[in-house]
Amino acid sequence: MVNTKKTRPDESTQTHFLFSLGASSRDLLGKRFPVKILMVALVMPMAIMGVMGWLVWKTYWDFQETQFRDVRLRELYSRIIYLDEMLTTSARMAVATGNVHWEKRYLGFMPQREAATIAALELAPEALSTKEAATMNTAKRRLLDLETSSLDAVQSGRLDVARALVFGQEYDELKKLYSEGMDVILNILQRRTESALHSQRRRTIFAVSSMAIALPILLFAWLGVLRMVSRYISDRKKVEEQMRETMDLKYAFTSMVSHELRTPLAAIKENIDIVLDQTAGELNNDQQDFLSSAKTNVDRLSRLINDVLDYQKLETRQMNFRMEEADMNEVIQETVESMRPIIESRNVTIQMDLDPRLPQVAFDRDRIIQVLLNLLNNAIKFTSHGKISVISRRAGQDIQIAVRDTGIGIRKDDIEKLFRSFSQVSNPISGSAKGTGLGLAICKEILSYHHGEMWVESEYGRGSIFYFKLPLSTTTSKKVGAL
Amino acid sequence: MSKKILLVEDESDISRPLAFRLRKKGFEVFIAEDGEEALRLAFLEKPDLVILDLMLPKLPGEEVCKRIRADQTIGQVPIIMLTAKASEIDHIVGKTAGANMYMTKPFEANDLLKTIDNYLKK
Repeated sequence: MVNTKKTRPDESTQTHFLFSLGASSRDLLGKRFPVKILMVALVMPMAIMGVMGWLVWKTYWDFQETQFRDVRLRELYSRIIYLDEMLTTSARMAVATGNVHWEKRYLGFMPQREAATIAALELAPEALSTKEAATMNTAKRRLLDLETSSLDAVQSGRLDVARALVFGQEYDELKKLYSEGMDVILNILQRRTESALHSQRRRTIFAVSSMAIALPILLFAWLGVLRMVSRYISDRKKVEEQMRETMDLKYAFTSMVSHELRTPLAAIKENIDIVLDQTAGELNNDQQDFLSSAKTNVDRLSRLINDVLDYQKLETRQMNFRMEEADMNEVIQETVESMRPIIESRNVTIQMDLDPRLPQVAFDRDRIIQVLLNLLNNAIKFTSHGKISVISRRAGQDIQIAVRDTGIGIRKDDIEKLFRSFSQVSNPISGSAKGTGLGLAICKEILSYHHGEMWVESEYGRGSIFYFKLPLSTTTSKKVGAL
Repeated sequence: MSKKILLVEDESDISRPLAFRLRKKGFEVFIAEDGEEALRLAFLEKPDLVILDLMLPKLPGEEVCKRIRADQTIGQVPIIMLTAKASEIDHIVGKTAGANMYMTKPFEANDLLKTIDNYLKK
């Protein structure tokens, strides 16, 4: 195991091993597990086990076959030897007694011996190719000749000729030659069986010992895999914990910074306001102009801080939502009316096209107003003439709200990054307040809290339509976003 | 007789213009820069309204609020709480401590004046 911990070089091997086993290891994350070695340790023994298993199986069947053949051959050869003896005895008895009965017996044994010989040759054809087999065969045929001739002689009454044939020296020699050949073949077959058994034994020993070596390796490899898995899990936990901590820290940092910014911002704003609204004495037009732009930017800064905090809260799911059944049309009307003076001061008309049969849905009133204000503000920012419309409709199991403008529209490339945080589309209409680049990202998050959706259709140069929809059945989302 | 407002705010850059504005409106304004002084002035001057910052030296705003509420003579005074912490938890803390209204910094001076008028009309 590759666990090097340089800070404590004197630690015992046991603690080192335990340490490397995982749970309390501090520098786990930086360490690479020897995956390649582990894979080899896994795959190799498994392959060895497979091949060796197959070998043992095969050897077992070989052994069965060898054994069967051996037994069968022994049986056949002892039968052949017996039948040979019976043939010789029958031929000799026929000659000695001149009794036809013995000739019949001889002719009865004859096919039996031929059948046994053929069976033996079929079982061990290799015995046929030996020199001994050839010699033996010749002897056998000659013996057969002598025997049949003698039997013929008995029938024709020439008993002395017959006797000379089967009791003569040639017959005995041939007989001896034949039985010697038989012994040699049996020996050859015996040796062959032994060598087969020997090689089977060797194969078995080889296979079993290979498996005996492979098995512990495999076990160790599996242990390694288990360790790797447990290490992976603990690593994951650690990483997740770290990520959570980072997120918490990021949140804490951002909210701290934002809060710390609020106090000086409040001071700046209040001091500017008191001069600007002439509570502290009169101003000339230039002074008022310059202070106005200071005020605009302070307002922008405080909007930015609020947006950052909002976005942060949404991102870390720390924002509370108060879901209540309400009339969306009423909310739209209220929001539009509050914006009407600003919109109409810019040479743009606003109109509403609201579905009177719009069903009530559950939503957080303040947050949805925030979404509507955002969309209306965007519409104002990018529209120099024409009209802005707000439309509400029921669409299947949702209610759908659209804010349409006749502004400059959005390029296709820009649409993709529209809902991303901190992205802004350049605005050629001068004099409009710059945004934070968070507005739509916040809107999208708010909608996702409501299990709703937000999207945009736009034609560059002709205007845009921003849509959002809220589902009718929001029972599941009633408690969404609890602290 | 002009109404008395106790303004508790440790940032003089915020309290000064606000006090100026309120005095212009005809209120009598007392400024406290920490929690203890706030309590002292509250009991001494018995203001008609308190504008209270949440984060204060010596004694936190919610504690000041609680102690004012606990007193029999000045317990009913309207309290407007100001804070830079805009999170929901602070909102709840402000309410349980007994503030009537809660405003986040930076606030609109006009909104604050309207709120003050609302409470003092009653």
